[in-house]
Amino acid sequence: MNEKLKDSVSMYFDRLREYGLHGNGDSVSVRAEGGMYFVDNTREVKFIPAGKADGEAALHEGIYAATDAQAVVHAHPDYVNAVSKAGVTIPAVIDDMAQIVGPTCRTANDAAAAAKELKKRNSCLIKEDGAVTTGRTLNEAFTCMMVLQKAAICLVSGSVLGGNVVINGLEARLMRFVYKKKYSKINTENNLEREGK
Amino acid sequence: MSWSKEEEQRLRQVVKDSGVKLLKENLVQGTWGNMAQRLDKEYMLVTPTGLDYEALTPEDMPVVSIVDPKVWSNGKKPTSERKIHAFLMLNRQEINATIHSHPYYGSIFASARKELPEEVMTEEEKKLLGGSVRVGAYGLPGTKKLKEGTVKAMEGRNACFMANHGVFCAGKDMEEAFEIIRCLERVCKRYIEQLTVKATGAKEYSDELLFEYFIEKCGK
Repeated sequence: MNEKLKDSVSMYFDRLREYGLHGNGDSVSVRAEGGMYFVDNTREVKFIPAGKADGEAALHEGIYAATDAQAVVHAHPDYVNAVSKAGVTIPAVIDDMAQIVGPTCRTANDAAAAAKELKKRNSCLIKEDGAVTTGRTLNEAFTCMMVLQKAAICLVSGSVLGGNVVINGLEARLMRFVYKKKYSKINTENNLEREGK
Repeated sequence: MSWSKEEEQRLRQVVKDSGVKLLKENLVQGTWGNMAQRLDKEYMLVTPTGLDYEALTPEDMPVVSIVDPKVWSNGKKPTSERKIHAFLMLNRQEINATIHSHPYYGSIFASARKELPEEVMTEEEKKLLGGSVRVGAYGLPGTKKLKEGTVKAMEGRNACFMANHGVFCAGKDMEEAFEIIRCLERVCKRYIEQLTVKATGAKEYSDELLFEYFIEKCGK
């Protein structure tokens, strides 16, 4: 049992509420040797061995099986929910979305489609079921959710301002590349240690 | 160097505490943002690049030359946006603290590249922000284009939006810079609410009203 890792999962679940990113059906997990630590609204952190997940935890297990993600956040912040209900893609309307989330965040129809979508990205919306974000650390997956909510706020509220100006695709990809390879490196190393990996 | 060690230590702590305050007040997400605190006419403390505010220590803040921001010492590698902070401090002696951040409501205007008109502000807000809040020209982070756009939009103002990027605020001290960024968020939020009511014809604002409007207008 890795107590530090277990505590970290619990801390980031609580942070969803602290930062106003919570909703019904939220869950957070981190990949661990032989399985994952998982927490949902019951607030009890469980170790789930690989292949034994069901219900909400099965969504996380499917993502770990399909990707090299180390942490998964499934949350339902209000503006993200509105975009997932609209069933549209969030474009890079703000540059930290391009860097942390990626050039776009698309809507998947269900959990299986979400796992497939996350093979190449670290976020996706699930139709009428919030969003899933992944990361190399819990901090990165959480930050990705926070920035996704901000991009959703810009997109939704921008509709009463006459719409947003979307960042050019090439520049968005360039910013993403620089963030992943350079800018986020120190933080990722620091957070791996802080979270108990 | 015209300041004492004790004063430098106090200001290092001010910058550290202000970074954490930005996070706690939900005025920034992750490591995204930076700030500067003037030490004297020629030098300022800035936040380092790529480190989150919780992990920062007061000793991490580098001392950067205001005259030539390429020159720095006594800390970790400074933020790439230091040229914007330096330019404003060099040309506006009344400015002693600057905050660049990416708060929720300011980001809406930055992403829509829309000016915040002064007609929607109270007299007190107008005085604090220095008038309408303009949008600086778009540029990639850390570039000359972004610096020039921000500097131009800040002319005669205490705050501006940076296209698709965030906001920039400047005050006579860190406390005032905070007051300005909080004020900017408050006015942006109120204006969005007014526009939502106007667009929908409803009597009063609610988030649900905005969501319904968005889903109807933009949904599949």
